[in-house]
Amino acid sequence: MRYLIVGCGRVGSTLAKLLDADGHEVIVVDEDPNAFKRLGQKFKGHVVVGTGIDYDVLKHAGAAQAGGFVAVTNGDNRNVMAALIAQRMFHIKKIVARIYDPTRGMMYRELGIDTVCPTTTGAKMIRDVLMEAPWDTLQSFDFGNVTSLTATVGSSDAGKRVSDFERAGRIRIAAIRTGKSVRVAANDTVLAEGDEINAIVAPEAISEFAQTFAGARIPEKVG
Amino acid sequence: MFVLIVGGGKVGSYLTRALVAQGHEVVIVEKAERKARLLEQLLERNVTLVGDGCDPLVLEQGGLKRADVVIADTGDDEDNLVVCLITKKNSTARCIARVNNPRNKLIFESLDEQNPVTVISSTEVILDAIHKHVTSPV
Repeated sequence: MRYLIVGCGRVGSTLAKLLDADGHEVIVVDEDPNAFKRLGQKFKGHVVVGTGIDYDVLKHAGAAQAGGFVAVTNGDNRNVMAALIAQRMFHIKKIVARIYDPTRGMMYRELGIDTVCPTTTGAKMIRDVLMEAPWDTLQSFDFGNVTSLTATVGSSDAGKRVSDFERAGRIRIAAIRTGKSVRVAANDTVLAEGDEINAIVAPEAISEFAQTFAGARIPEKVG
Repeated sequence: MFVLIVGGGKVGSYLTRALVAQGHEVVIVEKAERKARLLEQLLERNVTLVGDGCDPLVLEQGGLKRADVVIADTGDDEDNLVVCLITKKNSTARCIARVNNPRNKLIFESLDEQNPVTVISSTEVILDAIHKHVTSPV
């Protein structure tokens, strides 16, 4: 899948590296050529110098063939504009914009643009750490290249064991939540429909994990 | 008529002056306090509101709900787009926007197909003038 990322700051470059490691075709757009240094030596994707709110720049970057579009420049207004160009002029299927202002983020969601608000999410995560809430603290647990993901068990997977979902060195199920109770997973634990599992996943296995659990999502979900 | 203008640059200040002279009620929103004060001195009238015109609360304070016309004329297309988005969501005012990149016109026009934003691109106006000059018979 081809992904276009506008903005090569901390979030943009980290996301680019994650998607690249997962085997996707990644193109990063930024006005400042120096910003691409953040991508490091291992990055195999492409970079385009230019503003992400320009039709011609996005066309040159290959927006017409992109399956996903992410706007993470440091300006909320730029991000929504880039997202609207992606949606209305390139008809890209999946579009995500980072919007710091929660009120406007909600407004833009009505336009069919998925928005991620680090203000709300960040505040909630800090609160959870502060209050020592066990589940959310576990969710934000993320070390280096390995990500902690959560997913809900669907009816077709009910009755399967934890070991049926694990892949050696790539996917490990750590905890299971049934209702309000959380327990550490064992190999022979049987999963029930509606159980929420927390798994530790290697970057190259994220797609595989997402396919297995169609409802999988990254823990930093929209708050 | 009540006109709400976002952006106190040259275009905004001359617009305000002309509209006030014609007897219209005007509020002009400008982010930079210094610029807003200069504008007030120039116009000899208290019509400026200091704040970010891309913030729904600031626009509401400026009288968005009862505005007949909202003009987005900052120098940045993305800011003007957000002003139009907020206007379309919260009021029935006619919306006029300035764009720098003529390619962006389509995006502004797509916001409301029934009651489209009037988009003015100075780049396009100049290009048209050049085109007419070049193609007109001598």
